[in-house]
Amino acid sequence: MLVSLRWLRDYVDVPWTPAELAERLTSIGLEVKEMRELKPRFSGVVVGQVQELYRHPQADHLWIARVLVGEPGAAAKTVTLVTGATNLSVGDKVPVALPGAQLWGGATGEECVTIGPHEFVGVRSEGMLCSEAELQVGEDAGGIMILPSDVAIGQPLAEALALEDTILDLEIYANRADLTSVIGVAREVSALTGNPLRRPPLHLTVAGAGTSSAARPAPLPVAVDVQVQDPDLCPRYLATLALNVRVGPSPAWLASRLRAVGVRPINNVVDVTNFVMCETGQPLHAFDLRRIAQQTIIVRRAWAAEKLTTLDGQERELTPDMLVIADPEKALALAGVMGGLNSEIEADTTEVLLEAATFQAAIIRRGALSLGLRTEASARFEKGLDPNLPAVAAARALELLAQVAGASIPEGWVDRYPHPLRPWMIPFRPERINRLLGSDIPPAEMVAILQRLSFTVKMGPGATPQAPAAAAEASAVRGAGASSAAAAAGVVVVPTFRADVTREADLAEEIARFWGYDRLPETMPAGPTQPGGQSAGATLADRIRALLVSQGLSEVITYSFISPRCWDQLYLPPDHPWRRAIPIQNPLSDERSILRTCLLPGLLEVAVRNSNRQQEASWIFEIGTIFIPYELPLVRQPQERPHLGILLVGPADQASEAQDWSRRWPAADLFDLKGDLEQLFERLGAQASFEPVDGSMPFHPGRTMRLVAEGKELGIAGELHPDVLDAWELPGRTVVAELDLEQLFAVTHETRRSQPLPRFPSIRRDLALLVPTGLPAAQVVETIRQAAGLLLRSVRLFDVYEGPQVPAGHRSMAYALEFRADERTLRDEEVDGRIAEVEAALQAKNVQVRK
Amino acid sequence: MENGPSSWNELQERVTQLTQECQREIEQAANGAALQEVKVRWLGRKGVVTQLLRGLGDLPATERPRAGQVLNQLRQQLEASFAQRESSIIAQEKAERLERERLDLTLPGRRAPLGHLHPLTQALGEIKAFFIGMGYQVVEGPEVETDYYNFQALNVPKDHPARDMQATFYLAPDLVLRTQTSPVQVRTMERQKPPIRIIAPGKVYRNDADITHSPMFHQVEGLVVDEGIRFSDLKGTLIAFAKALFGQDRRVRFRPSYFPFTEPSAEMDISCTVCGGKGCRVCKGEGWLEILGSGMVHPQVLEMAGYDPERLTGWAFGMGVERVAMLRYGIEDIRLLFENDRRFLAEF
Repeated sequence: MLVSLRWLRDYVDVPWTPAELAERLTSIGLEVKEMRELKPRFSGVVVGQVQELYRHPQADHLWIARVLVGEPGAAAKTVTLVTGATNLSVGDKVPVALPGAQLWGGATGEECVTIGPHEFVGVRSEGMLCSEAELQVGEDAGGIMILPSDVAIGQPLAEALALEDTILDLEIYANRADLTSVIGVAREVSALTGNPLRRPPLHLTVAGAGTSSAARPAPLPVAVDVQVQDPDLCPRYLATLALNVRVGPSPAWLASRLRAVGVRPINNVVDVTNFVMCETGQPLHAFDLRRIAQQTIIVRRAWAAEKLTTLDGQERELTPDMLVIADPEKALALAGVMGGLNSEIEADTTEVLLEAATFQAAIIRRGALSLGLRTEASARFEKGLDPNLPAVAAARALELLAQVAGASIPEGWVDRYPHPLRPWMIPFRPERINRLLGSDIPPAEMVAILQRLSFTVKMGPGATPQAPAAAAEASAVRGAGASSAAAAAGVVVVPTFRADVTREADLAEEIARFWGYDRLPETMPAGPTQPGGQSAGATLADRIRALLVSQGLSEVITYSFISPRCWDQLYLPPDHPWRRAIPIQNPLSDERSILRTCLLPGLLEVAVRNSNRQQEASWIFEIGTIFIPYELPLVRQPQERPHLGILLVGPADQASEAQDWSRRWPAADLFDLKGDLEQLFERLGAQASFEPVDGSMPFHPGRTMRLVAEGKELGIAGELHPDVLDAWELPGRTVVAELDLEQLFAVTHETRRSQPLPRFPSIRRDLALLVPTGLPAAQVVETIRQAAGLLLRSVRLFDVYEGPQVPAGHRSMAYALEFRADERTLRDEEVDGRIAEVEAALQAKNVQVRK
Repeated sequence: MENGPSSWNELQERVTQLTQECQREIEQAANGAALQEVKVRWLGRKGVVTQLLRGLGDLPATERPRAGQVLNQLRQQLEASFAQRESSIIAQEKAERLERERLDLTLPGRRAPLGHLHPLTQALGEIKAFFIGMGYQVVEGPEVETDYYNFQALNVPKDHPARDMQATFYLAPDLVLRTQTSPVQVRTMERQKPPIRIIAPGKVYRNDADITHSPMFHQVEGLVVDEGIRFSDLKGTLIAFAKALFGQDRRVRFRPSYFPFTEPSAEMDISCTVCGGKGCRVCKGEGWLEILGSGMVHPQVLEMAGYDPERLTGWAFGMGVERVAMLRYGIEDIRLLFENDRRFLAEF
């Protein structure tokens, strides 16, 4: 919200520079987002008074004015000015641009015109009389600006009109409707400085404003009726009248106040309602009484598909979830949001019905949201306004209408306010507040702070909420139960504009704010401490991250929402479980409109993005949540499962900062991925196996494995199908894995136990084999193990070769076998015997042993 | 040998001559192989000296001992010369080899592939380490939340304007992608008896995206509930945290703020990590950077979780992990964190 420092100073003395004020406001939670200096758009313009006025002897359309531009007396100085305007009278005070004066403006707003003496048909004009538009202090370009009669002759105009100003942009929290007004901010400044708050005096009485709210409404001279269909949605509707109104431009002071806080002046009637809204926080609306059929206001929900053209010229279709101000025939305004074009104030309007009402915050918010129409008014109603404010605001507005629009204000009003809100009481225990804050603030200091904020404090044994003195003013005790109330050291009576203060904790905040957060002590929580830590699952995830990073993979974090098109790009069959994803009802874009059911699309996106940036190799992984719905459309919270996704493409050295100029690194293939997973499982103590399956999309049919452990499906690993590589424009063969971390966690048995080192030497024998292509390596190893018996401690494959030197239909495989006994040194002959059996067993499988 | 003395003299002379001859050959041998050749010719089975020793049998018996002595001396002398020359050749050859083996040590080192943890994981790790050390448990909660836990139980009823502070992704009328980690506060209080000391890290989602907002980001929630927990405890703990993460000389300030689920509420700022508080582009000239929101748990929230706010009090905070990472590591654009450019990740 924009606040003018000059305007603020009307209600409270501010002893600080703007920067100091901003810092103090921030310290009490009124954060100043921005501070801006306002400067007049002219220089060298002073106040003058017309002394003589006569027609130009040679030009009918020009007038000559003799204008006093210095105080009468010694400094008196009169200048001759020529003007074409016809609105001047002798005695008027007017802005005079003396020779050398500069006016900024023009088409760009940045052009600068310097005023000099100028001759008009033989008469020399010593400067220029200016209109509001020329000075950019108003819209009126039709005549010379007539200044208020109380400005001093010879005074610089910028001073006389108070045009130099500082504008503060304040962040107003959702619970502080009272601060959406200059008076509200002034009240906080008053509490901060101890300087008194000066409210504008009210001379009119409306609905008992200022006196007892029980005053009887006086009848209006015109029969006006107000019917509120649902008082829950409109707790108060106060209608008053302004008659004999002369609609026209606002005086400069009013227009410049509004302009300073970013509100465009429209006409004096509308401007008064806006001015009072800014001043008090209460939005008002002025209707042309002529347009209200049967002079009857009906506050009701809109009908389905009801149409209303709002003041901005847009025709809007309403729903019953919106509140309208209507007459018996039609909707007149969207309550609390914007008026309708059909009842707006026009140039010839003379009778104005002024609305000052309180609407339910929720319905205003919903209506404004669904129409995408947030206004100054709706922003205030949404925060929840004080229903006692309309009377004050109406009285103030009527006074101003009399002042600036010549309105006559009849006695009387119509007030629909069936349940008047009265101040409430909160138990107040200074000791408890100090305990909550960990502070030692003297109770008298607390009381002083609260009083400066317009709270009434009653201390002492008689000041329980039940005490008659308090009950007379407050209708209800909120917040604490009876038992705690009885223990209260006092009570605080809360003014109705502070709806946010309902409990003792709220009082604690008020006290802490003005005592100063920086003055509160710093302590550590007392009481028994426990060891800190995290869940086993989180620890496992951290461990997996560390292991994969040590294997050269980098961690990525991608969005949980993905594009629904990615499934087609993966050529998934229509019934593939990954396709069962939860849609977001209001997505940021189509690209991010469903929740991921696997990590693969996010990883592919990263690989492709990097490839497009000349980073073709990616060795990456992600640990993140996937979302599996129990039903669609979604009714319950879905399953959220932690997954591990891995993607490898390109050589490992290019995917990291590795370098090795002595050899070329091959591009990643499935065995890199398998090795990473094998090491991961081994380190985690998971006995997982890799079961080759006939891969379906998105996988290569011959290069896909299920990962299984203890009968649990851990996930899948494989090379992507070439069509998928093409669809995503991946830079090369890409291998991926997707694992369910909860399943992996279930088969993790991380026991770190030391085994004794061998005491006796081992014997190594190498076997070079010619293996028929159809025989899987796992069977070769299994055959070797079976035949070799328990003395065989390890079998390591150290070479695989297919090529010209190897007979067709075969591959050459070389294994290193290590034999050892625990309690003695093995003899060569023993090993020879085992090798003979191994060879025999292999030959039985058509494996030739090369000698 | 009839003329013994003369033949003796001859022998003496011959030995002297042979010694000189052999010494010369030894010295001329350029390398180990040449020296070996010389050695075979002189001391080998068919070598000169061996032949001479064989010839001893032809001498008269009386001469033999003396002649034998002379010849043995000759052999020993030559053997010593060979050994000496041998070791000097070995030393020389080793020196030459070492010279040949000089490397261009300006070639780069051979580096094995090593991956990188995402900077957000690293920042979160620092945050977790501090609080685990202070006796906090790390807990988690669902990312898809009910309207009740995300809003209502946190004192934000339907149509409350505070909902505007957090543009929400909806999955169903009552299911949202959580906009904050605060629901974990409520879930923890419902499940556990005080004393409670937890932090809850995790992903949160809001429907806006620009240079400083990501539609998905990470928060860490903190909650302490017990008898006698005070606002001053909040200040003390969070100041210690800010100094642990951002340096002991960091200044810290608390500003009143508004969150529906805390009262009193406070935002914590630290003096700018770039300019130190003088005012710069990063802190928008203010000298302060907003780090987290906090406050005393609202009594209404305690009550909704079944706690008696007269007996129990608590404090809570919520902070953005991206913000911490960006300040700690000098990252200027939040989007970098989710683009996962290889070169960006390699910086951490």
